[in-house]
This record gives sequence, structure tokens and C-alpha cells, in this order.
Amino acid sequence: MSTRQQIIVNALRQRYDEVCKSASQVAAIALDAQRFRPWSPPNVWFASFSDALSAIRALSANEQVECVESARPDRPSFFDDLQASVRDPQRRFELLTTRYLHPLNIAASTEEKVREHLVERLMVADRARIEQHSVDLLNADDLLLRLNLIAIYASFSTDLRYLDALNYYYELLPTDWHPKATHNWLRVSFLSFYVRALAVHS
Amino acid sequence: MRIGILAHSFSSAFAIYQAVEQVPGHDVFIILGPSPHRSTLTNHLANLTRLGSASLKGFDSKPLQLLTSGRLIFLRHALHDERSVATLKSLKLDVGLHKTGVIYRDVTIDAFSLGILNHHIGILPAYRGRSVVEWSILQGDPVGITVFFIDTGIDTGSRVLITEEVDISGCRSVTEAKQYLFDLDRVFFPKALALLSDSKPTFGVNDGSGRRYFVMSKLFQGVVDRLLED
Repeated sequence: MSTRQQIIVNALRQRYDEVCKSASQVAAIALDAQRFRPWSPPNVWFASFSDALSAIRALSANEQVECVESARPDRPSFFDDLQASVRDPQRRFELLTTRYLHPLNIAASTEEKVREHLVERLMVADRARIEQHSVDLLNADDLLLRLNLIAIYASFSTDLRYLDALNYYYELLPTDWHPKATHNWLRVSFLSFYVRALAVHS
Repeated sequence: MRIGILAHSFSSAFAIYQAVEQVPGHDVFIILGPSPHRSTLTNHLANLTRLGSASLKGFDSKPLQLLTSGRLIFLRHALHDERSVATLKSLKLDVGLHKTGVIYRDVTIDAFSLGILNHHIGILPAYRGRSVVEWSILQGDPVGITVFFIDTGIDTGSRVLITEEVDISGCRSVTEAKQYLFDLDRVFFPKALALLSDSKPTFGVNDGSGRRYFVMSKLFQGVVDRLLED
């Protein structure tokens, strides 16, 4: 390992310890990278036998979610619809939870444009809004869902921009933040996926 | 060639002006647009103060000459506003030199017969967007400058005039390295204008094959500082 890689790994390991500690304070959960169930990369598309939110919850709790290959949903307008929903977070939440019934599908090679769009929105417009105003101006369910999807992908990707979006949001979101969300547990699942990504990269 | 330096601050524009006006055959203007972070009046007053202090500091009459000769133009409206565009068109400029913090719209870019040049502190097409110096260091890639004609996207303009790696090993921090690279606009803009003055300038291509980078986390910024120290 080069000196550069070693310095990066050391920083990620330090952050890993910090996030594990903070996750235990947020939800009294113990995260342990040694016990993470391995995920299969979606080379095609995974069928789902449950809804997206249940699958996210199960994956974050390190439970088994079946990975059976199937055909990709035929919805050519999805990306346009996603772009059109930038000012309609409820619609975006609906679009994302409908497409990613199996959340690991976000890592499929076909989803590159979607991932780029999601990380760009998080790191440009949403970040600026939070920094200039408040996180409470954003729809918490939508924000947390997108962070969860990006965090899932970060475990599969060598592209450090995705992992760093998680680093950034971990630093940005107030530690005492109580999201006004219907699915508050998405904050805990985000931390779980973040810890997994840190473990993968370090 | 008629050149317009587009900036929010007189100080940053004047530094480029001094470098560019020395190249023979150029007619140079400074165009100060409103800052997105200040009211127009506050911005103008701040710039007049800077102009006065630049004159007094170096016993230099040039800043005042710029003002009296009509080569220093204050825009009251955003650069894409039709009144600002009309002012730009009336100056019959060939090239704009970008020193503002805004993304331009087509109407503004089209007010310059050749376009607007950007001095980007990263190597294109690989490194587009924000914190590109930090990302280049983090990923062990060369740091450098690209001078290219901008379009309405984020570092997506396809016509590249200069791509050059720059040695930043003498810099002790990222902040210092970035300031050093930003200040090289006084070197690279005149170089780019000299290339444009050739009868047939050749362009490299920014093909959009790279990635768009975003602001870096504190965690990775710490890593980058550590890498620079080493």
C-alpha cells in the first residue's frame, strides 16, 4: 500500500470508529464490520419480494434480502421524471421507492445517470440550502432516502466522490437533528450503510 | 483584440488588467458585475474604495485613468440581464476573461465574438467542478491549469487553449496551493491571448469524459493537507 493510500485508510478507520460510536448514541445499535453480510453486486437487476423501505431496513439491519436476477423495469421516462421532480420531494420519494424495490439495484451499471443526478443534487443544491438556511427546509424522508441509496452504492464503488458525499453529510447534519420524517429510522440505516462503506474502503 | 475582464472585485480584475495590457495590440476593459452576495450599491462602493487604495498604494494613476477613460464599467444588473448584455455588446468585445463567481448564460457568452475564457485550476477533462485541486492531490493525479472557452455548463466548454501541469511542491497547505494556482491567471490569460492572436489557433478538446467533483469533506481535506505535508 502506498503512503497516500495508507493516509486515506487511516482517516477512514478513525471515522469508522467515530460513526460506530455516534450510531450507538442515536439508536442504541452496535455496528460491527466483521459481521456484515456480504452483498452481491447487481450485474443485472434484482427482483424484489418486498417494498423498498422494508428492504432498506432489512439490509441496514444486516438481514438477508433475496437477490434473484430479473429483467430491468421498462420505464424509459424514469430519468426525465426524476429530473422533473427536483422541486417535488414527495414525488421523487415515490419514484425512487418504486424503482428501487430492491435497493441494491442502485448499484447496477444501468443506473449511472441516476446516481450522478442524486449525488449532484445532494452536494450542490441541497448542501447549499442546508448550509445557508436549515436542514429543516428539506423533506427529511426524501433527503434520507437519497442518502441511503448513495450510501449503498458507496460500498460497491471505487469512486471516492460517493463515499465523500457521506463524509460530508455526516459532518453537515446536526448531531441533535430530529428529522421531521415519517421514516425516522432512515437516519439510522444511513449510518449503518455509511459504516459499511467506510469498512469496505479501509 | 478587444478584451473584457469580467469580475465582481476591482482588485482581482486589476491584477489581470496589469498583466494583459502589457501585451501589444490589446484594448482592455474591466467590467464589474454585481456580486451575488452583496447589494449593487455596497459592491460599487467597495470597488471604488479598492480603486482608491490601489491608486494610493502604488502612487499609480492607472486605476483612476481606467475610470475616467471609460475602461472601467460598473454593471448595475446581473450579467444575463438585457441591460447588461446591451452594455457588453456596445463595447464590441472579442474575448471575455472570467473572474466572477457565476455561471454564464448564452446571451452573455454571445456578447463576445470569440467567447469567454476561464482559467480553471484543474486539468480538464478529468477534473471538473469544485475542490479539484484537493481531489487531484487525494487521487495522486497531477495538479495544473486549463484555459478554455466556457459554455453554460460546469467546466464543460469544449474548446481548450492551454492545459499545463503545475508544480505545487513548494506550497505548505492546500489554501496556499490554491491561491498560487488562482494567481497564475496573470500568467495564463496573457499566454492564452497570445495563442488566440495567431491566425489559426489550435484547440484541445474537453470531451466531457471526466467527472464532476464537489466540495470536499473535512475528513478528506485533512487527508489532503497531510499528503501535502508529506
